[in-house]
Amino acid sequence: MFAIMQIDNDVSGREFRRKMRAKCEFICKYCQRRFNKSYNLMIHERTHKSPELTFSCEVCGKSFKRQDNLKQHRCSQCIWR
Amino acid sequence: MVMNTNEVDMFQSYLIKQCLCGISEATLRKPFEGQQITDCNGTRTAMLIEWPTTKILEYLSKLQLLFDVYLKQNNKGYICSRIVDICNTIIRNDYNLIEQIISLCDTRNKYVNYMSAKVLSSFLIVAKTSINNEWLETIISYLTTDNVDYVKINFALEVIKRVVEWKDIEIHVLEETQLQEGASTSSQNETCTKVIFSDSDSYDTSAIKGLIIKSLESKWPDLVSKIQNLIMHNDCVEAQTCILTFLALWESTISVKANLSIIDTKPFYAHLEMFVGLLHSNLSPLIWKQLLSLFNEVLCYGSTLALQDMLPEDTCQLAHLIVRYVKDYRLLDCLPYRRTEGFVVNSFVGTIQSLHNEASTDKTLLQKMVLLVLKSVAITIKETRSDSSDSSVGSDDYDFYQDMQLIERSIRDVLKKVDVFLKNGLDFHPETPFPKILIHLFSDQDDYLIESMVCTLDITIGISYRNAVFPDLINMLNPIFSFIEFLKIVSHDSGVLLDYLVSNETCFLLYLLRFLKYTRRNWSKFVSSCSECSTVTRINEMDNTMTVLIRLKYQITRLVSKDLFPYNISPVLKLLEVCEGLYEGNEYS
Ligand SMILES: [Zn+2]
Ligand SMILES: [Zn+2]
Repeated sequence: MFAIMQIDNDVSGREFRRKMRAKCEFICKYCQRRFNKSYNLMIHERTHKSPELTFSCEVCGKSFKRQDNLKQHRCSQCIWR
Repeated sequence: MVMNTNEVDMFQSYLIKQCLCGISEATLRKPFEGQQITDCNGTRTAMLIEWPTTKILEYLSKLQLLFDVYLKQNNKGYICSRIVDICNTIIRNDYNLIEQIISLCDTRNKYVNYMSAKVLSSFLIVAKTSINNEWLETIISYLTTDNVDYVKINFALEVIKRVVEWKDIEIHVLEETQLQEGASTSSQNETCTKVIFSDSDSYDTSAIKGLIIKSLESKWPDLVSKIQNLIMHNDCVEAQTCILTFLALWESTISVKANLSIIDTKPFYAHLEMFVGLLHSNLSPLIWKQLLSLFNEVLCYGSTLALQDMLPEDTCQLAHLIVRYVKDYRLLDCLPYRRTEGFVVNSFVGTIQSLHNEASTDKTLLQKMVLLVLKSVAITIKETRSDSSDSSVGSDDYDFYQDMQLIERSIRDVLKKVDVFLKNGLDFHPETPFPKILIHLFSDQDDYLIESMVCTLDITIGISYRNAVFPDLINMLNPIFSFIEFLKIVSHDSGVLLDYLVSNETCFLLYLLRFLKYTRRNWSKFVSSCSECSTVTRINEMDNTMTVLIRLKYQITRLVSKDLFPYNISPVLKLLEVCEGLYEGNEYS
């Protein structure tokens, strides 16, 4: 009887912990901080990363971190113009 | 003394071309074999410390270049095999080089110290965990010698700080020259025997960062009380230098950008509150600035805390303390942001003549102070809200209302103090709206600017969650006014907003997401706030604002269709569409 009670307690304890964890189940792979929404985690994880090179010139293929860097880069047929 | 100038020069010229394959084994080893000297004991190999200062500096910069090239190539996935060879020799400590560099501290020469700290930290990054623990222990032991040795403390702090701050991807000067040389470099590289170093372990620095943080942790409490003592009692230049380096290291250690695990850095959150008490009007502005930077880094609102449901307790405590110090202990009045007429006084460099055109207020100090207060307020409100939603069982609505009222009262008090403080400090007209003052305060510092907007937006949302007790507070913070003012700062250029979204230097993604949600939910307030602004500026602020947002939507859509957007932007895109729909519906009504 006593043993059953203990198991019961354990299960509810585990259940409780599982619920608590489920509330913030998205963990940052860089710093292990916890977030409750995956989009929030994505926003946070961007802080850890080096900026991506996103703006690339379609003609010469050179990539830039910022659009204004690309604009400064002279290329007549660039899509940004 | 015999210097093998030719071989050393040749070593360097090959290193600049980023390949050591073409040189003989003897030339490769020469720079590391040390110099011969003849003294009363006959001819022997000289220790590094016995060399002339200029030769030490030349030698250290060659080592630095070697490590720089190694790390750069490691990042690309291959390293010249001879560069690997020579670095391995140094790691194996065949020449006892590392102990010699550590002992260069005894030269007491600041240039030598600067270079040797730099070289040692790069060495630790190259060697990673294949290092001799005694080296780390020696460096760490410099922090807590019985007789305070400023030179050694600063040296050790610099080495640790550089390792903690190490970022993998940075474009090196040599990269530019390689690009320019083009063809000649590529033919050179064909003769190079490369070793592939592309597994993540070869460039992942988290292990060495973790190791150095762990060693630091053991000395931390002792070091903290030493520095606290220096802040209170010692204002000689050497002590101040140590204090500033220490605070910068502290800031880097807990910075989200250091990519350290929160579990590893937990012990470094313990002593923060003591340092809030050190903020006095007679403290040097430089140390004020560094302390405020540290606290701002702890309250990493835009990058982290604003996105979390449960906030760490130690962080909340720091926020409460700041709120209390502003409210009850006149913290704002202690801030030494006014530069004395004609002179800049600080205990670090002494009293110096200020430049003619220099402003009489230190804007950076004002910015750091105000941002810290805004973050503290936002955290306090956020914590109250998550507490209430958390204790759903048996939570008393009346109790919650009472608590909320109490908190809102002190928040209102604090924000009014900030308002008055800024109007005095920056000579604004007493009627100037608070959002406008904030935007102008932060206009030259976009990361602060956008984080402050997230704070005021979250504070507004937080207090209007239930019926606000003080409606004047909501009017004072009006986030729509902030956005209209912000658009003026960026000249209504949607391209600037796009840059902010794509880069991760600010928390603009979070801001825009929340601002659009707020606008959607409070559309009539958006309309009325826009028209309120329009009567002042005589420009249709609603059309102005929506034009920028619609252009932004178009630019994002174009990037997404070309699969060029670096992350999932669809939540923002959807909100932009909804707001555009509301605007079009609004036009005909
Ligand atoms: Zn993280
Ligand atoms: Zn090579």
